[in-house]
Amino acid sequence: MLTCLANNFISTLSTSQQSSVQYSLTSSNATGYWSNLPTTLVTRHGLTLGSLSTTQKAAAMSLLNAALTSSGQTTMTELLAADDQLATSASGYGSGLYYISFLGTPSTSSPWILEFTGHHYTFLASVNGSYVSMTPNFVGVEPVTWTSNGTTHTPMGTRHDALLAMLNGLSSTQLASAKLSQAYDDVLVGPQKDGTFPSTASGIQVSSLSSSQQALVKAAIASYASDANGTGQYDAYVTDTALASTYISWASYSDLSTKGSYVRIDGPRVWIEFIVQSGIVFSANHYHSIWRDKSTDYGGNFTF
Amino acid sequence: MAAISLSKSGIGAAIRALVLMVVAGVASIVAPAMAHPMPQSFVSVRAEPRNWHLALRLPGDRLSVAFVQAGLLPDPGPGYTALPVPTAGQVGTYVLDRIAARSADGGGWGEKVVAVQPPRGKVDEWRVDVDLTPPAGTSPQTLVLDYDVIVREIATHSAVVSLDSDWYRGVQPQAPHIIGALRADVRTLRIDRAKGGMFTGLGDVFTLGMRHIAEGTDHLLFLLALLLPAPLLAAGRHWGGYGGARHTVRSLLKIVTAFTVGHSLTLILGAFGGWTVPQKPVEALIACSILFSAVHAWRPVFRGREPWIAAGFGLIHGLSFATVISAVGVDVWQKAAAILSFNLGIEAMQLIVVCLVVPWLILLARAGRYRTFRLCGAGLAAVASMAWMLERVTGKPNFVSTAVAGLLDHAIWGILALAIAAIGLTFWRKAPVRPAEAPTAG
Repeated sequence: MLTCLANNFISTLSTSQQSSVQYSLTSSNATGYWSNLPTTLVTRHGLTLGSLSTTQKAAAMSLLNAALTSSGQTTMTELLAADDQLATSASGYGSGLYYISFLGTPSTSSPWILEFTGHHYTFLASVNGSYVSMTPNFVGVEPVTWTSNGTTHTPMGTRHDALLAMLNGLSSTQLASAKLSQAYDDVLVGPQKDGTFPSTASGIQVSSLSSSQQALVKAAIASYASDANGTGQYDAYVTDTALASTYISWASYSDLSTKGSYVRIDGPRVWIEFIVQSGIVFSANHYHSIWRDKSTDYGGNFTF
Repeated sequence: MAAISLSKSGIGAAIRALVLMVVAGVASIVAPAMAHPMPQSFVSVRAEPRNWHLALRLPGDRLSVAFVQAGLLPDPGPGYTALPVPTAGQVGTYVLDRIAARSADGGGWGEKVVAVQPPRGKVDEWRVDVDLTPPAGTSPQTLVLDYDVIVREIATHSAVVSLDSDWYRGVQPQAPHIIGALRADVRTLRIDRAKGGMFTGLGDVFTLGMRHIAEGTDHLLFLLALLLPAPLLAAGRHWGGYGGARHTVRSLLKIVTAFTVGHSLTLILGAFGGWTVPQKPVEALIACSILFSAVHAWRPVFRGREPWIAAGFGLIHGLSFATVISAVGVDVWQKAAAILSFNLGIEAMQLIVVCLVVPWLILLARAGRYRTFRLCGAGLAAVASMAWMLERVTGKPNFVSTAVAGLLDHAIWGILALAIAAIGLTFWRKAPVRPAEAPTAG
């Protein structure tokens, strides 16, 4: 399905566009060209959405949407809209500055990756026969909320609320044992930090939580992992075995609204981080977060 | 300094490009500034003869968070509106607690916080200077630095480390080299000072001298305005005709030599004596010197005494040069060599400028078309100098100074146009159908 849509998109491109959308599947190509910084500061590979014709863009969006569930499509649409909102106040932002590219040639027989990356939203959808993973998936937003034409947008609201509910579900004793010993000013395993997961997990073990508390952990994991359309990642994260060795932790403040407030879910495969940072363009705080998969980031094609 | 602050504009950019072509392997270009806020710390390292020096720049909000995290200041609690700010004394103690210097074999060094400067103005950044001194009899050759400042408390913090000055490696404060990053999981850094020859350091300072002139629009404009009437003979209160190539070269030599003697004197005295002359009056006086030269190019006001004027204003320009070089070199011998080398760089660049411009002046003067050019040049220099004076006194760029800067950005094309005009007029004049024009410049 993805391979078919990828080739359909490629067929709408000119020869020179085809050569600029296609990269070889190497570790440096995969890890080196995405970031939470604007595209003016960190080079991205591929073609921008803004450079595509109507037909080409429609084909690109069909492909991107196919990698995402409907909640994933909403995440993408809303985050691109947030960047357009930023673009009204500062240059170097906007939905037109999101890049699409392929690592490896889309085919059903050999591995390839669809990379979609811009300022605050990146995913790498890896295919190897079937759709393996959509991680790394960076999700950040500024402004956190805004109103446009009478509609209020809060692109990361679901994630924020699910993570907050998870922390609020803990007793004060549990909260105390889930608190990390250091403060954070960004996500720990961000762009170009591949494989730098802590060697031992910190925080409180999910298996020690009540079933209703565990349900909140699952919902928090789902707020990220259920964006992927058919990778099976979410199901793998919430098996009893996986949850037994999954830890949740937080730093500085557990309210997810004070600057420096930080939360993490660290399992055998799943890795989710969320941090409240001060605003860059606007004065209000903004969020950075990342979902990684310790086994299948970049389709598991590389080891770190 | 004036020269550097004007460097993005002016003849500088164009001439520097030329110099880069002429002199191979010249200086590195400064990295582009980042627009997105960079929340890291920065550690500049200086290798000195018997010790090492660290200059820390610590983001204020991160430092406050670190104090709270370490329990050194009370937690403002969730929903806080402002973070607590430590005192300078607390910051000094905090840094000292989190820095350890030692030799490669583990012997501990002395650490001393020599200055703590709280954030100033809009830049939320603490500056802390630390001296690291090995015990007597221990070689300062290798520094092993254990660094825990902020990175102990904030897991995602990092400190970018740059080597700011290491004489024998040719590293000077104007072009630091990034040598690594310290963060929660990498808290130790080993730095070996280079054992390179004397020449690396000197070559770098020579280049610095050349760049200082090439980028210093004001120094260049002064020199050019002073050279403008060099081909001409003064006739009473007006400029007369072309005085011939020999006259031109002789008056040029006198002026350039006098300017050199003047600025060398204050440069040497200033750099050696470590004078800290207030920059604003010096810069305003430099702008003033351009106005003087411009007026003189219009009408000979100090006819015959050009060398003295050049020497006098040279003294002022030298004061500005001295501020650039005063931090370079760590002992008397290095300092002397550095000053000499820097000065040679200045002279070399001056010579290049003279050679680029003067032949066309001579051709123009010979072609008898000098007057318009001289008056335009003098007018431009006068306007520019007055705009700069205003800018330097008020501390704000004005419409004219911005426009002049934009205009001077294309100076290399100006020189090219001058060359074409000079050559064109020379041949036109020689063409048999055209009667020769009398040399009536002035």
